[in-house]
Amino acid sequence: MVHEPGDWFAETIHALAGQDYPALQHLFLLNGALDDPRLQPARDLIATVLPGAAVRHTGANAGYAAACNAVLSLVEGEGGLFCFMHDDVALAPDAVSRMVEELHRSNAGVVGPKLVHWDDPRMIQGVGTAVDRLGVEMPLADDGEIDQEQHDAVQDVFVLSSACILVRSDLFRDLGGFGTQPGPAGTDLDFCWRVHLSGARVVVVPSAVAMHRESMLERSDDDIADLERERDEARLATVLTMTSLGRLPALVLELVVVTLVHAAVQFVTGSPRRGIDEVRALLSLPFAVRSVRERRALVRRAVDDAEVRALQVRGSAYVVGYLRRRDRRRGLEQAQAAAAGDREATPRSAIVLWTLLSVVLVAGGRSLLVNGPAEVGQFVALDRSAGELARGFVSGWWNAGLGQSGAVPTGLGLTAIGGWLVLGNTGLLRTLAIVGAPLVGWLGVWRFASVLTTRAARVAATLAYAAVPLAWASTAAGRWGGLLTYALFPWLAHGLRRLVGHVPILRASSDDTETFGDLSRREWWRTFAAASLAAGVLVAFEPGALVALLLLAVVWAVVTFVNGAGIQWSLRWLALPGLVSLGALVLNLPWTGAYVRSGWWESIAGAPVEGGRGEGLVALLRFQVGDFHFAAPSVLLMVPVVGAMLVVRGSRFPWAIRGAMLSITGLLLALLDDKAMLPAHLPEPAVMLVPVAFGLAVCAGAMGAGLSVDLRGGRLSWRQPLGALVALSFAVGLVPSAVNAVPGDWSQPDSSLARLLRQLPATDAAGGFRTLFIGDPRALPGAPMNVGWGIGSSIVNGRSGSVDELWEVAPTRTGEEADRAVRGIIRGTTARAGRILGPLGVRFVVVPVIDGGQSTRSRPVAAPAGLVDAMARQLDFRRRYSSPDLAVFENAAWVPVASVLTPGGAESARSAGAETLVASDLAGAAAVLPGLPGNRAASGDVPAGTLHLAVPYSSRWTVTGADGSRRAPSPAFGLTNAYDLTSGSGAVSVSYEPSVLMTTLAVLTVLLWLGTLRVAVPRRRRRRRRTEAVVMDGTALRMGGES
Amino acid sequence: MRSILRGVVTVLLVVAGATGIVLVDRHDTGAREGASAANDRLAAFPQVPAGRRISSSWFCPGAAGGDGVTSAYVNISNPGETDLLATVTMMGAEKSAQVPVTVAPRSRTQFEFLRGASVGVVVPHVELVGTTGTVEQQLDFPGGDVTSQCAPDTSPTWYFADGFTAAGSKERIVVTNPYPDPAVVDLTFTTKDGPRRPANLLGLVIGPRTARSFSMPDIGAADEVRLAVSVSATTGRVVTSRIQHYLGLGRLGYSTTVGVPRPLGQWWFTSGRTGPQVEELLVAHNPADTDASVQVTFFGEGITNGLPVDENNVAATPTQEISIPAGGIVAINTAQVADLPKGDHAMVVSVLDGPDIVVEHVLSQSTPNGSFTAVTNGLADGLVSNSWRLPSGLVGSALNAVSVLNTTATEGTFTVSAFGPGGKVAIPGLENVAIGSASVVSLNVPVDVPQGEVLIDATVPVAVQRRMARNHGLAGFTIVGGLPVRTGR
Repeated sequence: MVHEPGDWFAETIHALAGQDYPALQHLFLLNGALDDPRLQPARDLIATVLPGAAVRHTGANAGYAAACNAVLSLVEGEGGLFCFMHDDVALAPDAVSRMVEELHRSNAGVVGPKLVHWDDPRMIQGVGTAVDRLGVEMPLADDGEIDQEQHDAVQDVFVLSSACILVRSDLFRDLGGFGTQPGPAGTDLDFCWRVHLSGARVVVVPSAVAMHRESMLERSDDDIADLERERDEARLATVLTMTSLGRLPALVLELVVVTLVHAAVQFVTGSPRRGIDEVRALLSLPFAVRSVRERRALVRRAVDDAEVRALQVRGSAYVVGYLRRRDRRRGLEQAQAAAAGDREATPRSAIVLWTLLSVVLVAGGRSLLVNGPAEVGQFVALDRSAGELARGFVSGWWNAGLGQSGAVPTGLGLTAIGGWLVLGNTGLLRTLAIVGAPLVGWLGVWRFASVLTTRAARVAATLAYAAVPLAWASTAAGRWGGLLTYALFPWLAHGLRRLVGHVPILRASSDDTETFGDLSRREWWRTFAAASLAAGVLVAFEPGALVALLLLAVVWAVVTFVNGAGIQWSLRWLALPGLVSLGALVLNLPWTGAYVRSGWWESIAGAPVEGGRGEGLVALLRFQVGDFHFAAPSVLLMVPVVGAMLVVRGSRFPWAIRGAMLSITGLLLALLDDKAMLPAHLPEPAVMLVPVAFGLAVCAGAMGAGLSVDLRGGRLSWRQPLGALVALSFAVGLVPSAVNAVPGDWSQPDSSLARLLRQLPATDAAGGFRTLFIGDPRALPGAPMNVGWGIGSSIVNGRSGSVDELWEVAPTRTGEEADRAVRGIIRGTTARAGRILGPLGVRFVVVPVIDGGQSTRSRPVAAPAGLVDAMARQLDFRRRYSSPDLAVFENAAWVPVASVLTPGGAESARSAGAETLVASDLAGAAAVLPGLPGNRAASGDVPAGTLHLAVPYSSRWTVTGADGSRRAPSPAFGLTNAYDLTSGSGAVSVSYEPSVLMTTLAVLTVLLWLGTLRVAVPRRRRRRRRTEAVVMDGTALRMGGES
Repeated sequence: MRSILRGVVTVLLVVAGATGIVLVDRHDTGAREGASAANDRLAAFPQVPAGRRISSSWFCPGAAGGDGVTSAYVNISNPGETDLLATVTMMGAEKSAQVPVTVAPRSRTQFEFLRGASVGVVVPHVELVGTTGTVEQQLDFPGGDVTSQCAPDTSPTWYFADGFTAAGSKERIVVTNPYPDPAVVDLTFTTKDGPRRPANLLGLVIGPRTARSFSMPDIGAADEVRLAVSVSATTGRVVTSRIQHYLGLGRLGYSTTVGVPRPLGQWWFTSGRTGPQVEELLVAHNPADTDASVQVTFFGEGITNGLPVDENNVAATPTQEISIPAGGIVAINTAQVADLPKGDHAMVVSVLDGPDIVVEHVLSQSTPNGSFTAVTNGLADGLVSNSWRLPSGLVGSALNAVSVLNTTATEGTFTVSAFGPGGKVAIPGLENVAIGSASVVSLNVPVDVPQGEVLIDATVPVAVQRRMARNHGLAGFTIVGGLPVRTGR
């Protein structure tokens, strides 16, 4: 069977011509039309080398099985044997004769040769396959196994490869040829199983050798995955086809259970795609019932099922195969280690590590898993449905603070998608995201550390990253941005490492020169897309993480250059993170477009803490961005940073330096920011310490590799005791995380700001309201904006922040007016800030001191000097609550978010500016239409008067009367929306008309993400469907005669 | 070789990083300013902030119905080029009322706030949009008109060094709470017998946006010639004023004044006088628990005081060191100061040792046409300024109407301007007036001075007080401080 023959075809032809079997007739089935010019070289070659051969054309690509079945009609005569071959199989000169000889000797129905690699015949490709009762295949020899005659015994096998197979022609005719229904991936299993049911033997003849060019080893991951998926579907259908009716129910049950269990195993062992494929194959079975029934009708059962079962593997081929692979791997590792003179850590160390980490993760966060994480810091309640979030995302109305018409943060859209993935349970999404984020980070480090080759390195690196208190302290303080950076930063580093071209180091190399290699174009784009996606998610929630990425890029570019690698590799470390960052920004368009404005840096890095945070070096070394008990020994985790530089040698040394420089530079930057010694502030330490932790992990990995490679078996020197000392320090540094896991809540606060604020009324009959928070930016909910003088402010809808308010809103006139009022309070330039804030719906003004997150009783952040006193000077602020934790004032001049103004208020609304507001007493406005503006629509009875909506002025907020008449808004106070309803009271509906442009852009954003995801996820190339019928040209052949 | 070089560079990078970390860690972070600006310690003293403000408040002393006051006004001055929006809130014992007022450009508007009330007190609170305008209170009283300054802020504490209930004189302390929350205050006073802290004056509740009046004779301080009062809010912030009617024992007249919000270490007075039929007292009250030692320094024609500011001269007036006992009142009679020339002078009372104090200036004079008493608070030390505003303006032909004291050792000049319909114009004859170091200049007002607000701009920091006519054909004057224009806020 010839399909798209290449250069190798000449060797195939010559091998056939060189066969010593005397009665060999050749029939070449060319896949294509008679006049296909691409087949002309093949025709010429056949005519030259085998002038007696018959050549026929299939006319179309009907597939291997269908084409081979053409011999049923093309070849006449009883008796004889058919030898089916691919065009990329070159037989040894005696191959056919040995197979024929053995077929007769063994009285077999089907025999096949030992397939070896085309390029290296010392490597076995296959000697038949064993199969269990569920059709799971277990090759008797592994692809790539060195041929040492270990498989040279003739033996019965369950399946032979149809790449080269010799069949008795009568048997082939009886069976109706190859089955075409299971598809190409299931042809071999289907055919051989039917052979067994007919009572014939299937035997491998290792003395007959055939070189096969197509090897699984040369296939891409995508191709292999594609093939395995098709095999799964074909296997299940074949099992149902071949199993007797009596055994079918039990077998189906077994099939379901085993498939699900194995899929689960695949999930947890890092092959989720295989697991998905298996489940998908199982789910596709009901759709294959008709096909199975048709195939069952064609099966000839000459022997009992039990006889066939006896030929199959006992138990599960999965288990047997696993045990075999494990034994082989151990042997291989031992052999390699012996050759290299080092000793690799046992696989058990990885199992112990992940078991330990899983226990720490689950046990340490058990309270969070059961009760949900506390509402602290950025861990806002996620009480809106995925659908509501999605509708909000595409609407163009961002209900953060005072609200804004325009691009909505991509993070809201991603949250909506996440909500759908957990079947709409957004609370569960919140819990899983917070509790599971560290695990994602650990897996990232595990993957990254593969560059250090040894398992000891991966174990040490992952353990170090997990032991750093950063994730736990971020959880305690409610720093979602820091936690997400912790989770995704290692993946970004891993992706960038691959894109730059770093290849895994040679295990025992003593040369510190680095090795680089480029990915294939397809793999490069896939990796780039995956890195951009990871960065995109990061930017969507924590844009400041780009600074951490920039730090990684610059430091590693410098180290790469200093280490003597070519300048191009160094430049790649600068360019590729830039490209990935650009990709992330593009993925977050149009929202990131809002950064093109003054004050963009603060919207990326967050509000600064003027004068510095003043945490100090020790706190930074402890990664104490939140409450974390017994943190002092955590400092010892930094010891490997120094130790790695002294102990590690050879090919691991460059990575030790990279890790050390990343940690040291990151720490220096964090410290400079801590002391406010930089010209611009940096993102919060929870984010900026992630590169420090990651660098530490890389050092620990290099150290782990160094201990297992460099220090074993060498002469005793100062390095061994130093290595032991570093290891001991590192071990002590692990203790704090273990200790903090005991309480089960990662030091999350019992009492947080959000909980304290529950004493305030919810949005009730008094009308919707907003709350203004003023204080140290670290203690404020939402996305605080810098006011100056060490003070920040944030405005949230209701009494505590929501997911909408995690991002800083671009300035609006309304926001600027609120900011002016806040400055007025702080600078004492007005005693009527309440009147300015009143029409904006600001009812409560809160000065948080202890928020339970970054400011706790054990680590308090002092309230800005004189702030509470300054609030007390305001003539409209009524003190509602005051304690060392917070002070709450109620603005006596507030106006509900949706209200009907008093006549005096309506008159004032016609004028613009703070001056008007200061001089206007709007008290007495009646609350109407609850739910606005969060719900973007509301309806109800509204008394006659001027309807005021405390949102930035926008004509998209429309009012429709009961008679369907629409009222256009007019600016109120030059800031907000007012509607003239003086003609009479009655039912009206208020709604926000989504912007077509914003909706379109939001949909395009979603499509862009999906497109990038499609590139990032390994794609399966669709095989061409072989649905066309075979239309042979030429006349029939007579077996033993001439064509 | 390259490998060694790489190693050296690497070590240098690492060492540089580590050194940087150590050095940076030794750097101390600075303190954040926070909202300190809003809590300025001098914020409640009469003044005009120079910077832009969204709005300004003026808490005036108020007036009592039934005291014989014919009418009570707030004078709102608008030297600006556009209409000035103002809101006057009138707070009484039970309720408050609010009235919007618009003041035309370059003009002054009088708003009558007593409105014929015959009982109780009414305290006006004027809010102005921006910082252009200024406010003073003016009472039309048959026994002599009274012009009073208004405080721009509230305070938890208020002090009055002087008080007088002897010879049937009446003294009311009016506590005003302009906030929506109730305030709780303690009222204590000191007589010649020492401090008193009556239980019934502790924990007094001042309702939201109300003013509560306390008659000192009625609460146990009758017939006192020395009466210092302290009001301290344990909850909230208030404004406290004093309405004083002098009826004998050398004092005659009517005055209303807002207290001083805090004791200070130095108080300036520019309108002092000694002479026949003149009794000038500097009444000093020490509200602290420890004794204070103070010194009075005089400035004026023929006076040298031995301070560095005029060190070339010979000290002629002893600057006595006077002890003010803890919680006590000491009246310093300037007539008893040796070698102090008779006539007008300026003074500064400085604390040499011990806690800050409160000082009031009481000037009583008998003339052939009648007697009068002028009482005024000192000018706070931190508020001496190069620029001063006199909201109620000046009356033409008035003699010695304004006293300007150069508080520095540098000679300078000053110019007096007034706002009229045409805007700001310098008053002829009062341009670039020379003023020597540590010297005081008294100004006579030209006949045709514009009626609007007056502005004094000096090249050196000065202190300014006015002598205001009592009208109704009465002799004498009242003394009112100017409003310093405060920069840096």
